[in-house]
Formats: sequence, C-alpha cells, structure tokens
Amino acid sequence: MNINIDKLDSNGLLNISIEGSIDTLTAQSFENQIKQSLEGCKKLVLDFTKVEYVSSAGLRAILTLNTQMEDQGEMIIKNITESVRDVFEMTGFDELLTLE
Amino acid sequence: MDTKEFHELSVDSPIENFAVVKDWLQSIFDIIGCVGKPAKQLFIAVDEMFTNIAHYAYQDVGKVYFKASYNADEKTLKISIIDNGDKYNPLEKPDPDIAQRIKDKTVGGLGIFMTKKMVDSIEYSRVDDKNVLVLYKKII
Repeated sequence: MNINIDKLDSNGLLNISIEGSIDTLTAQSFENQIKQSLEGCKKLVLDFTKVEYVSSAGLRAILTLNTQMEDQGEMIIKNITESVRDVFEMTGFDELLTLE
Repeated sequence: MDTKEFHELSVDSPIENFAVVKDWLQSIFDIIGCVGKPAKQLFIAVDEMFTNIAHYAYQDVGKVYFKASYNADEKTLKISIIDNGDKYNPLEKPDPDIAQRIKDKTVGGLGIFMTKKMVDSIEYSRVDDKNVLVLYKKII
C-alpha cells in the first residue's frame, strides 16, 4: 500500500491518495501515517481511486480517522471503486461516512 | 470433472504471515485466471478468517493450514482453512445488527459477516481436533 500525502493548505484542506488494499497487513500503517498529518487539518479528503479492497481491519482504521476528523472538521472519501462500495454498503459504512 | 488440486500452505499464526497467504492466493488466481471482483472478495474473506485465527485460535503461536482446489467445470474455487485451536465455529455467531453498529459506530463482529457475503458458501466442521472452514467461490 502506498499513501501520497499532499501538503496541508492554508485553509486546512489535506488531500491524501491511497493505492493498494487496506487490509489486516496495512490498516495500522494507513491509520498511523494519516494521523501523523492531521494537525491543523479541518478537511481531510481521501482519494480511493486506487484502493483495491478494504477488509474489516481497514474499516476499523477508517472509522478511527473519521471519528477524529468529526472532532476537528470533516472527512470525505472520494472515488471509491465498486469493491469498496460493496463493503461500505454491506456494513453500513456508506451511512457513517461522507462519500463523494 | 476437471479439478485442479493445489499444494497446501502451512504458516504460523502471527498476523504478519498473511503476506505469505496473499502471495499463495495470488499464485492460484494467476493459474486459474481469477481476477477483478471475485479475487478481491476472496482476499477479503481469507483475510478475515486468517485474522480471526491469528487473534483467537492460539494462546501463543500455532499452525494454520490452507488447501485449495479448483473445479473448472463449475468454475468454483474451494479453499480450506484449518487450525488446531479449541473448537470454534464462526458460523454460529449471529450476524451483527448493522443499524445498531452504525448507531454505536463500532466494527466488532464484522469479519465473519463480511466473509459470508464475499463467498458463495461456507462450511465448518470439527475433524480430528481441528477446526476446518471451507470457502467456495465461483470465480466468474
């Protein structure tokens, strides 16, 4: 899994793109890398264009990030693939998260 | 019936060994031409079941065995996952109340639920003091 983290802009917007799967091997690293970048972030946009799939470990990490961002602003996940949408819908995450 | 049998895989239970399991699965997918959605769904299903064993089957480290076979006529991949832990049938666990989970914002118990959704059928048996979980998945 690769994560590309843009520089936080002056409005507190942070764009991050993820490539690969967010699974039991990568979920903790996904969460930790993004958490380290959230100081001053008011709007976190995660680009899931290249996310292949998300397992329950990935869901847990996404939920943790979403909870933190609810306290300091908002989190948006954009460009989810069909496989990721299937997982979000079957687990109700499509209702918990802001998807674009 | 045209059935391909694949070599078994044996790994120790710590979670980082899922990398080995993923490589083994991918090698099977390459042979039988499993790509796209079915491949992703199988990665998720095996991830969830291996994670379950890694966290709960053994007090310390134990072995996890995998077997796979492919029925070309039915285009169905069969994956058996076997451990020597205490008897545990994950299929007896009731499906989570999704509405309540959304309300509570929790993810516990989603692994086996997701696995059941990702495969066409799933069976559990207790054989020779081993837990045997078998996943069946049509690959197209």
